[in-house]
Formats: sequence, C-alpha cells, structure tokens
Amino acid sequence: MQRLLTGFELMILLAVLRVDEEAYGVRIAEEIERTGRRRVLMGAVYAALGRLERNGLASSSVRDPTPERGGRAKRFFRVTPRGVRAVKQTQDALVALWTDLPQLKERRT
Amino acid sequence: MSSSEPPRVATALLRRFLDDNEPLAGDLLERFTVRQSRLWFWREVLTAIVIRALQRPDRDHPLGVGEHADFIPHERARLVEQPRQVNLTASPLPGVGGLSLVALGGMVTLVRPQAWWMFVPAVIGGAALGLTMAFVRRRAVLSGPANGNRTLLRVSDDDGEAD
Repeated sequence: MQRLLTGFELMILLAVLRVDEEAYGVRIAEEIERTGRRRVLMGAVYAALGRLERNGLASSSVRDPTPERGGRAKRFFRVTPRGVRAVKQTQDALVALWTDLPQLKERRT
Repeated sequence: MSSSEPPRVATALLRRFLDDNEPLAGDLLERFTVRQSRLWFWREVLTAIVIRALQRPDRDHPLGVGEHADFIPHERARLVEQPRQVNLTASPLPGVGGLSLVALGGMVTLVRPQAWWMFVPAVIGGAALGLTMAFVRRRAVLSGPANGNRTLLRVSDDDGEAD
C-alpha cells in the first residue's frame, strides 16, 4: 500500500513547488499562509520538511546568508521526483474520495 | 507588543536550543523584521524548541526508528554509516542532564534551604509540562499509521528503490 501524505505535508510540498527556486523556510511559510489561508509555525514547517527529506520526498541545500537574518544561512528545498509522485498519488486518492458526494454538492450552491 | 529588536532572552534560547538549525533561526529573525511582534517571536521560539524536544527521542533512542528502519533506505544508510549519539541523561535536551539538577538541588539545600519554596511552583509546572508533552506525543503516535505499522511509512517507488 502506498503512503498518502498528510494534509500539512501536502501543503508544504505544494508550497515548495509553487515557490520553486526561492523555496526556503520564510517563503514556504508565506506561501502556505497566503495561498493556503492557514497560519503556520516555522518550527512545524521545518519538522515536516525534515521528515519529508528523510523519506526522500524533498531535498535541500544551504546557501549564503543575508544581513537581515543576522548572518545566518538559508536552506533551500526542492521536491524530488519521488515527492512529485507522492503529491500526485495523494491528489488522485483525494479526488477519488471527493467525487460523487451528494452532501458536498448540496452545500456548494 | 512590538519592537524593532527581537527579545534578547528568546534569542538566547534560540541560540541555546536550536544552535544546530541555523536556517530555522535565520528564518525566525527574518520574519521578525517584517512582523515586528515580540509575542509572535516568543511563540515561534518556544514551539520550535518543544517540537525539537519531541522529535529528538526518535533520533537518539537505540530502539526507536532503528528497528523499523530497514524499510527506509535513507534511514538505514544513516544508522549504518553515521556514528550515533545516545542520550543517557534524564532530559531529551542536550546539556540539561538529570545529575545537574540533583547537584543544583543539593547546593540549594546547603546554601539556602528557604529557596526550596521557589522550586515548588517550578516542580508543579515541570510536571504539568511533562504530562502535557507525554500526552501530545502519545496522541501523535496513536494518530500515525494504522495499528502503529511503520511499514506504511514507506512510499513505494516505481523503480524499486524502496524495496
């Protein structure tokens, strides 16, 4: 059985894909808050990214620091091909569960 | 509550407990320059420390993820190839060992026994925090894969990499 992503993991991977080249912690959190309309804690974002990285769904690299960060380095994230497949599989499963639900059709009007 | 500088104590805690995660510390400081909220900064720092503390046992415990790690190539490689640190102190946080607390208690008893009254709220608060963390951790484990079967954590790979 394939493992489906949790809602938060899915949002993070989608945010990383949306932000693309600029996907570091701040931009990922902003993207989730702006597009996903959900407030996030940076610690939770990094914990999820670490878990995704350990499972091979994301990868990261450290780049040069900037002055507004107190000289601290930035870690940029990318979604691996395996991560993209996991996103797609999760989407397929959710869409399948979503379809033909009369309760949701009634509420949508 | 706002200021142009992040709270010094919170920044010190950040340095102390998240020292090995420089990007996270940098992200918090960068976001603070935009948000300018000391309350927000405190909340972020404290939750990041708690999340780190809750995560750490899985990494350090000899019987943690290791017994199921055969299914995760990356974990297997990490466990086999990298030296492992086992936390033998009473605390999940590095440098905050149980012996230090015992020594501190002994010193207080010798120097100023009346000060023990200050420790009563701290002990009660610590016990409450410990119970809360245990409850949160227990819930996190229970809400994991079905029947706690960690093999479900594997993402199947078309090229057979995970198998």
